[in-house]
Amino acid sequence: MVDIGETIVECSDVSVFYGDNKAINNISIGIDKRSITAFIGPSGCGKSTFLRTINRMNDTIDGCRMEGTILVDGENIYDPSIDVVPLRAKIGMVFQKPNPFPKTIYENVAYGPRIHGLSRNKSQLDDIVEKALTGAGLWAEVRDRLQDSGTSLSGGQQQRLCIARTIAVEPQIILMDEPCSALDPIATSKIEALMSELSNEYTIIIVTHSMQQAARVSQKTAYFHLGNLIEHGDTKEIFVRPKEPQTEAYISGKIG
Amino acid sequence: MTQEHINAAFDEDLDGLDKLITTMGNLALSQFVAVIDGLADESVELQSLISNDKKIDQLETEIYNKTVEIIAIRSPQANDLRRIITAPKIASFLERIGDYSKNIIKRRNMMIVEDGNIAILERLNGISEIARELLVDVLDSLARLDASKARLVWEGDVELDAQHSIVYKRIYRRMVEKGSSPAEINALFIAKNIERIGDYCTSIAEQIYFIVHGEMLDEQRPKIDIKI
Repeated sequence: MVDIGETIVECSDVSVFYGDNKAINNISIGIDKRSITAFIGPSGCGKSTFLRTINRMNDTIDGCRMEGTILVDGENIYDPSIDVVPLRAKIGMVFQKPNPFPKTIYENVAYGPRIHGLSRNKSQLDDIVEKALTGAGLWAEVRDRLQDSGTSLSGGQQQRLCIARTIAVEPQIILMDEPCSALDPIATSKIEALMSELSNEYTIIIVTHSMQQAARVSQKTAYFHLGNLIEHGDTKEIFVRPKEPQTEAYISGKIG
Repeated sequence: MTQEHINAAFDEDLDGLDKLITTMGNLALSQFVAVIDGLADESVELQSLISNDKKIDQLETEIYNKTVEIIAIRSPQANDLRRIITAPKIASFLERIGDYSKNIIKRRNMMIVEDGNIAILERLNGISEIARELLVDVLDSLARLDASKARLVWEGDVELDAQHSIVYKRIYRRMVEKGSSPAEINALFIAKNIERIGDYCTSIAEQIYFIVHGEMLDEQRPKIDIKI
C-alpha cells in the first residue's frame, strides 16, 4: 500500500552546512504524499536539520548553508523567486514544545488565515477556525471558551491548538519536530490518533526519538546517522528486518 | 547476537530466555536419546523418564511468560523481536517432541505387558538414529543461530521420511502376509512418533532461519509419499 504513493517531496543530494561543519551529507529521499514518514536517529544525527530544510526554516540560522535541490510538488523551493512566507504556510510546522501565541484560542487559529487572506469576512473566518479546531480534535473541548487564552490550555491541548493553527492555512505538508516529547501518554495518544486522521489529507513528516512512536504512526521510516541517511523504507520492514546493521543496532538499543 | 545492548538488563533477559530454551531442548533430547537407546531392550526401564515430561511442560509455560514479560518491558525490535517472538513457538515444538517420547514409552510399556516381546522394535533403530541426529543438529543450530545448519536439518528430514516409509512398508507387508498382531500395530505407532519428531525438528529449523534472515524459508520442503 505504501509503495504506490505519489511522491510530494523530492530531495536530491541535499547537504547542509553550519559554517564549515557539514551537518547533512548528500541526502536524497522522496516523501510519499498523504502518508506519515518518521525521521529517526540519535541526537545530532541531522534529522531535525534535514526536516527544517523542507520548509526553509534553516534560512533563519546564521551561517547555515544548503546545497542540492528540494522539489515540493515539482517546484524547487530554494528557487530565488520563492516567497518563504506562503511556503511555510504550505509546509507547516509543529514544534517540540507547544508554542501558542499569547492570544485567545480563537486568535491563535484565526491569525494565519487572516494574514494569508483566506477569509473574506468574520463568518468565513469563524468557519475556518471551527473546521481547523475540529480537524485538530480540539473543537469539542474549546468551543465554549474560544476567548480564553491559548496558554490556559493543558500541554496536550496546546499542542493540538498548534496543529489547528497549522492546518487552518491549508497546508500540504506538516512537519512535526518531536511533537509529543513534552506530553503525557494520554495526550501523546491523542496526537498520534490525530496524525493518522490528518494523513488522509496531509503529508506528515515527524522527527521522533521514540522508536515506538515511529513504529506506531508512520508508514515509512528514515534512519539518520552522523548526517547520513542510512536506510529509508517501509516502517514494518525497518522494525522487523532492517537491512543495515547500523539501523538494527539503533532500533534495538545496541552499542553500535 | 554478539552486539550488546546499551541496557545490559535487556541482555540478561535474553540470556535468561535462551537458557530456558536450552534447558528445555536438552531435556527433550536426553529423554528421546534414553528412549531410543533402550527401545528394543526389555530390561531397560524407561517409565521413570515420563516425569521429565512434566518438567518440559513447565519450561514451556516459563518460556511463554518470560516472552510476554520481555515484550511488555523491553519493546524488542528487529532481530531481538524475531528471537523473542519465536521462543514460545520453538518451546511448543520441543514440548511436542517430549510428548512423542512419552507416547513411545507408554506404547512400549503396553507391548511389554500385552505382547511380552518388543524385539520388533529393533527394526526402528535406523529411523531412531536419523531422528536423533536431526534433533541434535537442530538444537546445535539453535544455540549458535546457525541458519545454514538449520537448513540442512530442514532438508535432511526427507531421509527420515524415506526410511520411515521403508520400515512402514516392511511391517505392513508382514502383517498382510502373516496376519497382524498387536506388536506390529504398536511398532507402527512408535515408528510414526519417531517420524513426527523429525517433522518438529524441521519446524524448529524454520524458526531459526526466520530469526537469522527475517523471512520464512519459502521453498517447498523435499517430501516423499508413502506408497504401499
